[in-house]
Amino acid sequence: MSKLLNAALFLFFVVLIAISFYGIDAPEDRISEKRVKQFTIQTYRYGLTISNDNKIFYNITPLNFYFEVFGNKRSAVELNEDIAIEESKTDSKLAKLMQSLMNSLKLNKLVATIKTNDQYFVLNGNLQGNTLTVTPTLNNTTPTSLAQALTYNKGDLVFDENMEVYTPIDDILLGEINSYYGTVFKNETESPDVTGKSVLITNLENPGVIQLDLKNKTAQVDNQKLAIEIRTSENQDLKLNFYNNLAESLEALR
Amino acid sequence: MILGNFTAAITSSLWFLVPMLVGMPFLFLFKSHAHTLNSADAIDPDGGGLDLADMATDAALAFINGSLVIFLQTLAISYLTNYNPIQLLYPLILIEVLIGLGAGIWHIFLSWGKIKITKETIFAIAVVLTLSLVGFSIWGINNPPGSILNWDMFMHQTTISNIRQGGFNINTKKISDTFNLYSYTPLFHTTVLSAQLFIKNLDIPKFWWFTQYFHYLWTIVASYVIAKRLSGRRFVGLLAAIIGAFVFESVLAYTSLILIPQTIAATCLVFVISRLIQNHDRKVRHSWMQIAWGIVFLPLGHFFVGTAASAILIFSLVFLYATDKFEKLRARLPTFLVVAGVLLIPIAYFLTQGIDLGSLNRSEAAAFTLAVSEKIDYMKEFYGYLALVFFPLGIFFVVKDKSNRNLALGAIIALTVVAVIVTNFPYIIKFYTIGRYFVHAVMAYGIWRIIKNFGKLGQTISIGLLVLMLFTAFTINTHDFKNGLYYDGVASHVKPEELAAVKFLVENGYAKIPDVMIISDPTTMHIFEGLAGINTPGGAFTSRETRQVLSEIFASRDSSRIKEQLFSIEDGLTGSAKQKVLFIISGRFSSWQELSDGQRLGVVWNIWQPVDLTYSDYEFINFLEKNARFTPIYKTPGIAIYEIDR
Repeated sequence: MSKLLNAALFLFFVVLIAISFYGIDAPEDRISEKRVKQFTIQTYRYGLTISNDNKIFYNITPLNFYFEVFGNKRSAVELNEDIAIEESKTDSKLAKLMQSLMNSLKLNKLVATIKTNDQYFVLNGNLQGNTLTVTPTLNNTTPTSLAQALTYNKGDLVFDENMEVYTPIDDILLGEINSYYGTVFKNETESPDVTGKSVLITNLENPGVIQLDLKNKTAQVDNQKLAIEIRTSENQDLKLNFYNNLAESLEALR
Repeated sequence: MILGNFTAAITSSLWFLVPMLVGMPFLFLFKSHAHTLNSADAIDPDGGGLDLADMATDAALAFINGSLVIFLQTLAISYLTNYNPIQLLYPLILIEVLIGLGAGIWHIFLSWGKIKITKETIFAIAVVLTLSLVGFSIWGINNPPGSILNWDMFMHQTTISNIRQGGFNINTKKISDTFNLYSYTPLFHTTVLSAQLFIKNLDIPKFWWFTQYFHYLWTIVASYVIAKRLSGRRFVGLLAAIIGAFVFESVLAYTSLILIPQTIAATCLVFVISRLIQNHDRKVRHSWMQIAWGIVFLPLGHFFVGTAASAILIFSLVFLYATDKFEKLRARLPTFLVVAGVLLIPIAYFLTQGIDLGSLNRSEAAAFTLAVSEKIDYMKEFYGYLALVFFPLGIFFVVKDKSNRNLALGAIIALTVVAVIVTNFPYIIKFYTIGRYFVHAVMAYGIWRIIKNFGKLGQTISIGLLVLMLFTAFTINTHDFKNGLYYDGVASHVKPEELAAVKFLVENGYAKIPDVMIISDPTTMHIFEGLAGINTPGGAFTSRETRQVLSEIFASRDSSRIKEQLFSIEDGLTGSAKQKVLFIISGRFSSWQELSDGQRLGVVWNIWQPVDLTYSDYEFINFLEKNARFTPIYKTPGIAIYEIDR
């Protein structure tokens, strides 16, 4: 009898603890996040997003990627209402709590999987120091002829290590920026093709700089779509470095 | 680095050790230490020997005595002599520490052979230490030594520095204008100062970081001690220690992880009540001097929380005496009061809903007047539903087990504090710094009552589940607390660049220049005043007038008036402007300027996250240098400092 009572009490206790667990506040969305310099890198509905104090966002999503074969472009993933990363679809309270716990303990992974009828498109973000490497895979293989993209925002300054600016900016403002920051930004090229070995993005109203490594890659700054398109015939990984401010990024470029 | 942290850790423990040693002789003088409990001290409900609870209570009572002595002698020297108290305090405290050390050693020598430290005691110490290390490691994620998450620390350090320079006053508002409200005497500050006096080349951020650890450890021990005393069970004490370690009230109360006057007062109360209960249980006479010192110490430590603590102490004393003396009362009063306590909660809620508290709930107070639904949301952050489940269950068992008078006392205090907290007074959650210890003891009792017959395996699994649940809540809660304070992957109010600027100002002697004042956005002023020891007009609590002037300076950019505007800002203490101004522009400056008028001119909103200079700041810097012709004495991508003479 006493054993039975204890077993019942044990079950009762487990239920009480489960109820207690249920009360812990979980975030509304199951988001994996890591912090670096002035930025937060998170998974979001469509892929990975990098935000500066949640004010401005830079997205890497397969929805902006396309395959280019002999000049023909084909979207990597077609946008439809059902599209959302698989990781956030499992939105049970327990899953959200576990994600929050992993984020807090820095044991989380930045993985965004977009699944359509016939394919898995995975973005795997690996943060080491202040470098984020984003590896895309398609059905567990490295995709070929893939053009990737990193979005930016209106008012951002996109430039390369030669200080060539690729976003529209008037000369007076550029002169002021050069005067205030002690920089030598120039506004000479009409071409959207980035000539440098890396392209950098900063927002004048928010500190922090993102540098996109273009080693063995080519890039175009599309001021209509507000995106930097990146092409490569070799390694598909995108490598992004983060800095606290312009001075720190320029120092690193030297 | 490791050696530096080790040294900082050791020296930080002085904040507790110095007052404790100063107070040690008084402990023996008042005969309030555990070993005066005659032969009864060997009778421990859980096995005998000198318990962690005995040792910790002795240490805490000695700390209370020492803190009060240090405070009173600083007060006496300040008001009775013309000396800067520090000139006398340092040798005086040194002598007192040596006397205390001698008294302690002599006491151990005399008691040698009588003191028995059992396996159970060692186990309890190991559990408490492990909990503190695990909990603090979680707190330390993205918050390494030297980072600061306690924004009150800056004004406390400012006060300590001002006292050190001879600025002692019984009224903290007259020591530093960072205080808008006179809610405590500088007892807390003289206590911390007594430790800092002995530290050469004080690294302020690291000192406070490690001090937090010792405070955290102390609160876990307090949870253990009070639950053990109330229940008479070491097991219940350990369960309360687990709850105490993993519950952080991340709003207003901040008991376990933020060292501030209210948390000290509440934690000290717990130890005084513990000794009262112990004395009654063992039928040992109280040390009235010790009780009197406790009753004086608590309100001096914090007028609101400390006064409530004193009232609880007096009530406990009366309750214990009455129930000891009158058998009939002992049989009925505890249960009656617990049931009354339960009924008090809805009564308190409904009564205060009908009272117009509009006159109290203004400005900052309005921001900290929380609706019951908000309080429940916060409770979920701190506990999940653990408190909602196990506190009523604990109360149920306390009522059911009528024989336990002490637990009833704990439950009455817990219920009363909960009843106070459900009212709609501003800042009311602060009182939970007291309540949490008693609530946790009752919860722990409830848990123990369920699992006590499970057998070793069942108990281990049950405790494992409890720990897992609390660990999850604590980890997420502390992570959320740090959110929004990140700079370069570290959660802190201060970034390394600001620390370097502070170092520059200190090394170049700006802290020693008379009649100098730092002017910047409120948070930058608050931080720099605390760390560099240079006066500001009120730090984060600067006046509406100063905020107005700073807003006008930024918005109007009138180079012909800026100097006049800067020198129109008055020191909150003297009411006069200074001869020299250090005008600091950090990234916080434009962030603060971008706030709405209400946020910028009030004291609730502050830019606590470090920010680098942005284009708006650079525009302003350009104006300062080109139009106002200010020359920077220090300039980096994160901060610019201008020295301006009247």
